[in-house]
Amino acid sequence: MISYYIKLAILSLWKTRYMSLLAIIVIAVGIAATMTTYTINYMMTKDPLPSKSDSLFLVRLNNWSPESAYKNRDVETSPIYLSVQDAVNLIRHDKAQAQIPIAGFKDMLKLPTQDAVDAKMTFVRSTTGDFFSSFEVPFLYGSSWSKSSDDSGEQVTVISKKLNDKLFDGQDSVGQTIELGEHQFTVAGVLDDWFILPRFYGESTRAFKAPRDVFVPFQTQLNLALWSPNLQAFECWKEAADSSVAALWASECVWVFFWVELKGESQKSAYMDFLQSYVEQQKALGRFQRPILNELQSPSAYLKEREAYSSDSEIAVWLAICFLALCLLNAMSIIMTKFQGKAGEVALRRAVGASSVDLFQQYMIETGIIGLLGGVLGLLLTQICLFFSSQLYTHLSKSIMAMSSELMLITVVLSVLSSLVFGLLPIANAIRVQPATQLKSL
Amino acid sequence: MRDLLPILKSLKSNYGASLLFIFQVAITFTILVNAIYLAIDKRQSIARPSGLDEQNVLYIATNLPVEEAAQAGQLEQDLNNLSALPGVEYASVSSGVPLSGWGRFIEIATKPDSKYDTFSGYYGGDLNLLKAFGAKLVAGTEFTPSAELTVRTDGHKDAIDIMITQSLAESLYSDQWEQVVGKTIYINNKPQRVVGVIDTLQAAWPTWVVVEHVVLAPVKEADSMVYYVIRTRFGQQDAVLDSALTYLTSLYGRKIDKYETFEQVKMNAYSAENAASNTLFGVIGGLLIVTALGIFGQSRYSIIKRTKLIGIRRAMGASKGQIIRYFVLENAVLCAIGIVIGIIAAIILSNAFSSAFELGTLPPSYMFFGSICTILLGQIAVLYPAFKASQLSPAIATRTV
Repeated sequence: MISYYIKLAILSLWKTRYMSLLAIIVIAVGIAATMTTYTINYMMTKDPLPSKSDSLFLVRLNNWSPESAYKNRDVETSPIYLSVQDAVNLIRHDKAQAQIPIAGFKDMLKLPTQDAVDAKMTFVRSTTGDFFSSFEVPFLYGSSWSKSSDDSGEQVTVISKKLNDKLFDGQDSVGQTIELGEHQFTVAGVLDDWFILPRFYGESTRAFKAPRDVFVPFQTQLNLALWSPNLQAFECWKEAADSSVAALWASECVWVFFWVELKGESQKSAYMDFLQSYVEQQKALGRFQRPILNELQSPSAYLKEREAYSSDSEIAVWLAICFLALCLLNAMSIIMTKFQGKAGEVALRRAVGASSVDLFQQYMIETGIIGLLGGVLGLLLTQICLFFSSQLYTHLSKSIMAMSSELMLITVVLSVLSSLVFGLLPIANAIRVQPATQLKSL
Repeated sequence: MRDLLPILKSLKSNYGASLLFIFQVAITFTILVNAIYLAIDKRQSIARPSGLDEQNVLYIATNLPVEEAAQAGQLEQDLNNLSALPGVEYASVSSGVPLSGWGRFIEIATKPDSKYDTFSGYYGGDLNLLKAFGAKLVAGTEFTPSAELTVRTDGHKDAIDIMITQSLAESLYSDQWEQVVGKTIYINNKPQRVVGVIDTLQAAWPTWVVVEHVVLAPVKEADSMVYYVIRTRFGQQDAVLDSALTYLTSLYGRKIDKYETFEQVKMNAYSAENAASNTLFGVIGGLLIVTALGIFGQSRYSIIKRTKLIGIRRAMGASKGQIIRYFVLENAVLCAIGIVIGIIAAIILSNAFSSAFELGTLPPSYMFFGSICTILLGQIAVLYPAFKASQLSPAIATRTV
């Protein structure tokens, strides 16, 4: 029976093709608007690393002036970053499963064979080898640098696929050398395509920008005194002893984000205990003169506190949902018009014995097909809209504008379901026709 | 107006379709006014004056590639040479650039013991910085040459004399903001004397709540990285940029970190707002098209349904104009009912938005203009179906439908 209804439905769709097309287009436009805004909003607010969302934490210690609270807030909070000495101490104690300082500098990058004028100013991320394993960073060639490189601060580097394509034509460049300023770094690994969204581990204002192209060990940055004062925010409550970089490393200025990976509650509470004893020990040395406010903050809590998300995309989703409702109402009135013309057909089929349930099924199938076609067309339109959005939203990364396959499936299901719901009234109207009244006029 | 009564009566007999139509209009209206309000709100924040001579200001971020002790001297030399370039009005050094995201923020208090009254952006530079930005004084005087200092970093800790923006002055002294001239205010708990009030100058972060709050101090920072701010004569920006870069790179070890004209800075600063408002205008456009199509379809439907009635009316002597008038009026009545519901819905939605997203609520003028737009849209969409209806021949009435 179903296949017969599908055949009838297709025939009927063809008979009223302009009306049907109009309904399909209107549904498609509504679906496209909703899914475009929803995709953007979803990609911007999703959990960046679902497998690690309850095991990664930002370490916050209350290292601030004895005279006033950090930022002078009434409710005292800890700075979001650590001083170099605390980061180094925490790494040395090695109490967490993974320890990931996030710092950086910028320098002129070139190949040893290139001329100095070809060097490009490049942002460099300094961290530890744990960065790649904890944040599940994929490698194309080679691997992360070794633990010993972290400890001694060797001049090794991991570069992005993009940079590898540019400098080495995409060849396996492991073992090759690049120059950062006056220093040479040996390539230990090349990343595969990797774009974490939102990028939670650094400054919240850059949460939707691409990760950096060059990674070097944190200890190497410290050893070589590589420092770019205008690259990142750093906050000091106490002047460094002098203006040298070494003095900055030894100062109380905070600017190093410090993430740790801790599996399970027991590791987490053990690490909290460790932080407590660490800060107490530092207090005994005359540091940390404020109340102890140690904190292990999750990526989502950090992004939320730093207001990384703009509410614009959420507003847009709500507007688009209203817009979809409007489109469906429009489709409903078009379908009603369509079925109005069927009064004769309905009467005839009822008169020759079809039950109203049969007719209901048949028309639901017809409406469902309209919804399906609308959904598929809407999906195509969504891709076009996302393409244009990626041109328009130049401040965001291009990969925000990508739809996952689940979202695509949801889109089509949403379209079919909503057209069925909105088709109920027109169908009910159509099959209520009294056979006798219509048959007279046939 | 004679048609009004029959229209209202026929609504009752046809309430399903009429209700649908009214809903469509109400939703259109609700989205329309809210989307326009949001889009214009974005446009307004982009259009706020920065206080700068926007077309003629550029900045170059570069290093001072000499030993630390010689950096202050190198800075001085760079400034002199940049000022002497043809086409340059003023060249200065600054600790930040408005709207670029690079700057410093400080806490402001009027009393030494209070924590802070408000926040402000901070720019430190030489005596020319105010003029290099192209900002204007509205009260007080400019800095005296003796107030100028040179430090390595964190100039706000060393400043003695400062200027503040009128907006900051108003937040401290409300209407008597002019009194602030000559007073001492506390910046990060350090006393500093206000000598002048700047008309407008924006801080480094465009979305900051207090982006209009700025403190300007005559303290040059000769750090390893400096921002040169250059104001050029009109139309000479490209030439000046070329000659400035040529001069700067002539020194061995010089790295040019970044350079942008202020127009580029502003474009980057507001790319999110621009994109959002463009998207909203796109939504509004799509909305109008879909609604017009919907009304068109609805009107066609209701007219086809009433073919016989129209024929009868024509046969009874109704003119073509009267037929058109009937449908146009019917459309207007339905739109009006839809708008009334839409106004209520729009107020509810706007209140929900403003409490959820900290936006302002819809001003009544939007309701007024939104209503006019919606009515017009309805009338345009109904014109063709109504015209087609008027073309029906009276002979239709004689056929059975």
